[in-house]
Amino acid sequence: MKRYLREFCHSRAGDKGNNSNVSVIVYDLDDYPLIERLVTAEVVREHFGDLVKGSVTRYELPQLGALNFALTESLDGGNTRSRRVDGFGKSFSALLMSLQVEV
Amino acid sequence: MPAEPVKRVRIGGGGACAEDWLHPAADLVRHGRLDYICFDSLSESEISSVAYSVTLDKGAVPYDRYLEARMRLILPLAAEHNVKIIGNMGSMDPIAAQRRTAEIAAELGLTGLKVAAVYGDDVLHHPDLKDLVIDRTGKQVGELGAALISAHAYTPVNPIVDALAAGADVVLAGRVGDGAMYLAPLMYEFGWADDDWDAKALGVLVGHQLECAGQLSGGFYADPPYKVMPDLANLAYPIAEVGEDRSVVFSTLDTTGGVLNVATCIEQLLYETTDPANYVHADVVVDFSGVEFVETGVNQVEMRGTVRGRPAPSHLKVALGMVEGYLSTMTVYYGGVGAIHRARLAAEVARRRLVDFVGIDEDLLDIRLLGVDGLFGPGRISEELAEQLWEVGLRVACRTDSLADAEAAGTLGAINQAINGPAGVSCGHGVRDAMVRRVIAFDSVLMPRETVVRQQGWELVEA
Repeated sequence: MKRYLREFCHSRAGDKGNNSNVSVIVYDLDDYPLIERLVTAEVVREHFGDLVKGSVTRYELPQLGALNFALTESLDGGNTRSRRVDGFGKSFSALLMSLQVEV
Repeated sequence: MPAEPVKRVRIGGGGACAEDWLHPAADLVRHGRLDYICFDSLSESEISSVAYSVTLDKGAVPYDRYLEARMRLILPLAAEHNVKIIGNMGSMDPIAAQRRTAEIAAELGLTGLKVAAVYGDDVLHHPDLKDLVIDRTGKQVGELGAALISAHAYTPVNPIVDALAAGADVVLAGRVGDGAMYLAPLMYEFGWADDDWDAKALGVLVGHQLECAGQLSGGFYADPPYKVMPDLANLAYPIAEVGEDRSVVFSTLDTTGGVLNVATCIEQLLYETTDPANYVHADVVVDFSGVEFVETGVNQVEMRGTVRGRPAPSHLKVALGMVEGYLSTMTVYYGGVGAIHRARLAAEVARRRLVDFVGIDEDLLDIRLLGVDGLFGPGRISEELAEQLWEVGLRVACRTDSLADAEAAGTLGAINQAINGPAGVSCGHGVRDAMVRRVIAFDSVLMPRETVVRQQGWELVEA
């Protein structure tokens, strides 16, 4: 069965210069192994596509049921330079929560 | 004999940026039983924006332009409830902010109020700056020439602590490390040593949780039906109660809306971070990879687990502001049946006219259809869904060194579609001064810590 991450996870995105970070946090700690297995840096990289010009690195916090993704060169030069509607990339959380995974 | 009660300090998160909503901050001062309230007025690029407005307009204030409104509202409440105020609203000139605050206090009858200014973060004219290398570009700062308009180091906490020890009721800094405004009262109240890295890490982390104010207590969170809360419109800002035993409890007012729970605490913990074991701050390197949150009541969460600190970095980050060309953005809308087809045609017309006829390099343009690919780029929605869209925006953006090209992108690319583009388009966006702006860009360099610390200081005046 395919489910959106939003159905069992939540997320927040932040920025520093031209880099962004997006978290994925499970509501129920029992679901953590699932996201640890399914939401890899490679999957996130593919889901974000051309939005990320640099690298995607994943950090894990199992006791919080959370993953943190660092996306470098992902804000068209950073908010001060960006031509995008969302120069801070704060809506990236919604994009990641729109990822569908097979569970 | 009963044990001595543990000393506890209550700090409120008063605001996340210069223009943040003041109403919940006033509520916190009135009802939060606070000892301190802190205000973060400086996003990464804020000082450079202030610096640019000062160069444009001799009347612009060199500090947070909302300082006046904030002080007039908060100062009398803080005096009444015995709450000290710490903020970085000094921006590019903390002394000017201090003088103005003291004047306001005197006008409000708060004579005797002690207002401190913390300075030393401004390194624009430091002789060593020109030789430093910009992280992103690999170029030396000196090559920027006159384009460089501001350079402010993320400075250590110590002068704020010293000002509090001298009896300051209000401390106004410029650029300090994120969270330093929250760390300072804890160091002062508990007498934490300058090399107690675990304690400083805890203080910085408390600051990290509170520095975006409402983002810990319901803001930037709601996503119905999954994430819901009562009365988001009237959310409260958060409070941290820190004990001498290094216990930390986050809470909020129980008379207002919003929510503060484990989920909001984890979201904010990871906000604007990368490696949780290596959160680099001007005062300490924080390892928060072992932190835990436990709900201990309604809108009340205790922070547990381990927070470790390692010695402060040998170099401090310096935020540079530079004038860098122009950015134009303009949007027009297509509506009704077939909107997507007219918007797509308009996008193609804009691209062709701007590239082939005006001669703008295509790489400088960013042309999007709002409702389709505005936020996340093309290929996200099905053709079937696109066909059903009732409104589609054509947004034309251009970043260029040429003012004429920037204007052409907005006028010919977007506004002129009402005359020479497809049918059924919105018309009325013609405000040119809002369409094109100077790019005040941000970059950063690292400066030896001692170079900056040597020029740090503080001073106190009485209203």
